[in-house]
Amino acid sequence: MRVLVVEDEQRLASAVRRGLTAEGFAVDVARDGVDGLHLAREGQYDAVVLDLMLPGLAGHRVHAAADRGVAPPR
Amino acid sequence: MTQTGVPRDLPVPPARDEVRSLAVTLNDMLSRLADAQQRQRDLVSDTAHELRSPIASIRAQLEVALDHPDGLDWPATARDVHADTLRLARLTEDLLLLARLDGQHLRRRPTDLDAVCGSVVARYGTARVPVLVKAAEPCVVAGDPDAMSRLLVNLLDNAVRHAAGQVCVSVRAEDGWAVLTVSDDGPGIPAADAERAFGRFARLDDARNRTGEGGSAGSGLGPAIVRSSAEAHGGSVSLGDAGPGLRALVRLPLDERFA
Repeated sequence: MRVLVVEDEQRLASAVRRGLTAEGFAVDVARDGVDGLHLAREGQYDAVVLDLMLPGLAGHRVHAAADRGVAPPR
Repeated sequence: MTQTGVPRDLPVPPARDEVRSLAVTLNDMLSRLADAQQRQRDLVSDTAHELRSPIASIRAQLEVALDHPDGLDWPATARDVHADTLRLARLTEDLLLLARLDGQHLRRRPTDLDAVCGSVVARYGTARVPVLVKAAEPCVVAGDPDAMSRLLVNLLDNAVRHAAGQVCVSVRAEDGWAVLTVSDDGPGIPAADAERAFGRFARLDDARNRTGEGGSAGSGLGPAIVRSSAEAHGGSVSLGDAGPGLRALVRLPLDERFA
């Protein structure tokens, strides 16, 4: 099962990645909303762990854009 | 004023008499009280968020470590938890200092700004870029030495975090004012954001955001502390273009007895 973690706090993202990996998930991490949206659209993930306060593009916008299939800004 | 503390406007009578004048004055005061309350609520809300991030990070790291102890890099985990703890400590120290500055609880006495500059800059010997004192004229201000040090530390931390090659500091006397300048050669900020940068937990959506290289983020309160500190001492602070980079300029009134 593949999981995308979108989190700008580096240490928190690393801990979540470690925990999920130890539980048997394949994990990718994006550090901001734009990268998160890129990966979410292209990566075929089973689940996304999404922070709300992200630099660049806030989490709720990433969620809405991914839902509508909107392409991320360049 | 209601029980919830939300001020309401008083009706202003049409007659141009002292009752109308009093109502207008009171409405002005109520409006300022409402603004102050809103700022206080915003600060509490922002502070809660800023506290929540390192706490969430510490919690996640410890929970993962306890659930999956085998093969864990314990020293690395301890370093990360320690870094988050330092961040929490910095945030609480900054909040306490801001409360002290807001309450004007300063211990002011004749303070050599050039001496403060010398002792603070000496702590940056191992900073990621050199911090150079370009000029340090004798400047005595009626200042709280701790607040003066903290003001300079906040400016230098920010400058060092974003500088490309070096940071320059100068202190000089000018027409009854002590002028402290801290310049870096980093990306700078757009002129339109210069005022907003002093907001508490201000997030500027540009190259100069709150996290510097190596993840050395400040508490988000540094610029607010600098402004509050300068204003509590009867001075001011402004940001400008250092071409390239950012220049912070602090003006504090010289102590006339030593001018």
